[in-house]
Amino acid sequence: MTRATRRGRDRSSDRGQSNLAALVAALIVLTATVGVTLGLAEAALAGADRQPGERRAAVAAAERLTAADSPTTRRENVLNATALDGFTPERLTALAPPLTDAAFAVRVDDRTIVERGDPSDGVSFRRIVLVSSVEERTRTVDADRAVTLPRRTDRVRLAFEGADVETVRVNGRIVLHQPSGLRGTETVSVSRSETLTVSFDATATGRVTVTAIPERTRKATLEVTVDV
Amino acid sequence: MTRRSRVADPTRPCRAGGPSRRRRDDASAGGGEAADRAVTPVVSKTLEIGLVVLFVAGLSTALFGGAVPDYRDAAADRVADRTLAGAATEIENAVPPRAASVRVERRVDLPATIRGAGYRVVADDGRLRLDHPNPSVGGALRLVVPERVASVSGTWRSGADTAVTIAGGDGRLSIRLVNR
Repeated sequence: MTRATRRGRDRSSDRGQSNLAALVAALIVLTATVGVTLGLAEAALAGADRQPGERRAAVAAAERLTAADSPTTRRENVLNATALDGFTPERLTALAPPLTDAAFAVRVDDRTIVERGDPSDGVSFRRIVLVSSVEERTRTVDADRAVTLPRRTDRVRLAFEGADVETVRVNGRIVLHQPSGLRGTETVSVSRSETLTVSFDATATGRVTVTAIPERTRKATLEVTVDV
Repeated sequence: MTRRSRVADPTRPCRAGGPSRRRRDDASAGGGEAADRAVTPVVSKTLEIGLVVLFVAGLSTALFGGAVPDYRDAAADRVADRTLAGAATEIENAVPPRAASVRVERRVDLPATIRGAGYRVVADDGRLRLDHPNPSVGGALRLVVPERVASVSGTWRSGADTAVTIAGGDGRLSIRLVNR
């Protein structure tokens, strides 16, 4: 009944209201925490996106470009430099349908082969390939001696104008024989895996034009970038 | 005199200290100490409880009505994309090199459920499609197969033993998605 007890009660009711303020502050902090957590979850979800569709399209396109039966290759993983020069985006989309509606670029050692749109935000896939180019090497030789071809080749073309030759041997094996004499131009398939010596029969005279088609390969990086 | 002026002032009761102070004046006048002690904590606690209940209700509604299902859909869609890309890669890698006659069977692992539900992977017309009961999950992509593949068909059900079979001769390969 005294003033002291009243003041005490007064203070307790004040404390009740200050509890409320503390509660509101706590709830605000809790809300902020939930908001931050949601932001972190959002960032984690965005960071976990590896764009599997684009990646698959890039991998599949590279796979088709280097397949053995692709129009751009000589053998599996060996690109044909001549075929690459004439390659168009339309032929690539025919080869790899997922690229139909996508922006893409195909590069070999930073040289752009085909490009459509701007795929700079897309996914890149790189693989090591060989790029093969062929050039004809022609030399005219005397028919009475053998000639060793300086580079390996898978076929040899021989022109017999102005020569009288019955038999042609490659590394000792007979590849052409005509008892009445060889005429015109003949192409011979030979092994690519050994160095070749072309020789003629002992009685051959005149000069024979020997054309080798050696293949030159270099290592390169094939890069396919796709942005769907 | 002072009491009357306080009551007459309409802004007073709205202030935090107003009611209790008025009650204390009443109590001292009427001698009702017990009533004075009971009301204030009850009001205060009721306010606090109401606030917490409101907060929890609001937060639950916001999370489970919007954010959480959105995230589940987004995560499920990512999983579906990966599943589809993985399945397409498996199918493309199963195609054998050229041969007069081939027969290939290859197991393909798929997640049993996505977002807690079964789904189907359907191949038709050179495309691979993922059908999921949830409309926000799914996708489609085009397959990259050599020209010697004549047809791609079949359906995979998630949860089954899924396999891809390839049969036929050169130029007429047919790819089927089968469940074992």
